[in-house]
Amino acid sequence: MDKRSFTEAQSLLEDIKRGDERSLNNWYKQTRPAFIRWGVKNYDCTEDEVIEVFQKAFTVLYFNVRDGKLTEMSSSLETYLLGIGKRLFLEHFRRRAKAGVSLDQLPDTAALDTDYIDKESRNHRQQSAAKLLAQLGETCRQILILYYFRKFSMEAIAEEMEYKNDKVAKKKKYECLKRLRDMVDEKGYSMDDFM
Amino acid sequence: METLSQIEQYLTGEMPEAEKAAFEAAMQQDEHLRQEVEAYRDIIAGIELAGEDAFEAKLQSWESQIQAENKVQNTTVRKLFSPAVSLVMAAAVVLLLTFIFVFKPFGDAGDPFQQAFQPYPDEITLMGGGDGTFDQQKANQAMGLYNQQKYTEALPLLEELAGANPDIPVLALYEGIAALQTGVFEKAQQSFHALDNTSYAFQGEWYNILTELKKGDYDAPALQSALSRIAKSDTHPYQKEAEKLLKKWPAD
Repeated sequence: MDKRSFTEAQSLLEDIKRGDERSLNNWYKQTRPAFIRWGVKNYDCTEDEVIEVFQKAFTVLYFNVRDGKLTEMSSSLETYLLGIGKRLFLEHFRRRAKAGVSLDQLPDTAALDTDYIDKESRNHRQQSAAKLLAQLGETCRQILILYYFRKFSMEAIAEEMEYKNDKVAKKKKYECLKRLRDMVDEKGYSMDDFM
Repeated sequence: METLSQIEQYLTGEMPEAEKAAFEAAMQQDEHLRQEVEAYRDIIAGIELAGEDAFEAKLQSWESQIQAENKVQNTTVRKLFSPAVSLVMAAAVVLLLTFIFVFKPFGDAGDPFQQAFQPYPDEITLMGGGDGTFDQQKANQAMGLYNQQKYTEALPLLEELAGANPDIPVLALYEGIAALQTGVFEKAQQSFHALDNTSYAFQGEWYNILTELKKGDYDAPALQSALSRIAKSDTHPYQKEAEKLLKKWPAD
């Protein structure tokens, strides 16, 4: 990677980590056509199937960056995305993959975490909490998502939500977490709600 | 709140090792505490699940938006190239040509083309592979020259590749860019227009604008209007670039 590409990749990495939606959206649009072409050509899939894999690969990459599993770029982010895509294709379409696919130059993605896709394993209480979060009120929903999903620090949350300081934000977060817990205990959905 | 703070520290892995051992010992002794930890483990996992769902929904909405835009774009292109409209367009072009050279909106602000032009990144070499019918060796040679900005030498190879592989639209994009940089503007614009109905339509549109800029005989209001449209679009990949170009455009 040349110096400019490296700087751009690092900057994109920072944007993704921050959850900068505009950057993410731009990158989605920029990488999508190439990914579709690559998938259709190499894995004998329909465009819709490739788009599905592209979205999963995009999500895995986002989570890996967010969780600090990808901090330094030794190749371009596009190459990482293709590496994840390759693994997902091989998992889902192994039998249909064409022979002679020469993608050996892609990074080893064996260590990439794709557990998020396995939603079947989520238990009833987890699914109740996910559903009830929307009923908790926007402030609480936002603070809990920022902390537990987007991995913001309490200082960053205080700034984002205009609290006086991180202590105030932290206190609010505990209140929201406890309220969600109480709601799950009181209203917890039955299994039928998820069928 | 103190216990909740401890539970959370334990679940998020932020509890110091020494405290962790004591906390685990306490859980062994205290069934209520153990149940509380399990409950909050699920609650936190549920919040993460909601975040994942929201993220996936966001991707889906971007996807729907792209597909809707492509549909509109395709329809527009078909309409634009209907015979009747082509005649009207031809007449409009004659009229517009009378304004050529009248507007030079960038004045002395520098060469806008040089400031805006970036060669489209090499996807061909990166993607590799092929289904056996694609001449990868020739593609590597062409893209090698393209990457070294040896556009004159790359152009004939890219023309050949694009002609032989109409199912790989990105080749027409590289062909157009090589033609643009070689000064074969008509050929460049032909290649970019060939992308209208493909997933590279945005790229074709952008490089077509750059071709107009490089030619220098552009119709300023029309170009400005095209850039404004891109700058206002939340889904156009060249939105930021269009914004930058417009900033350099002096106010009337």
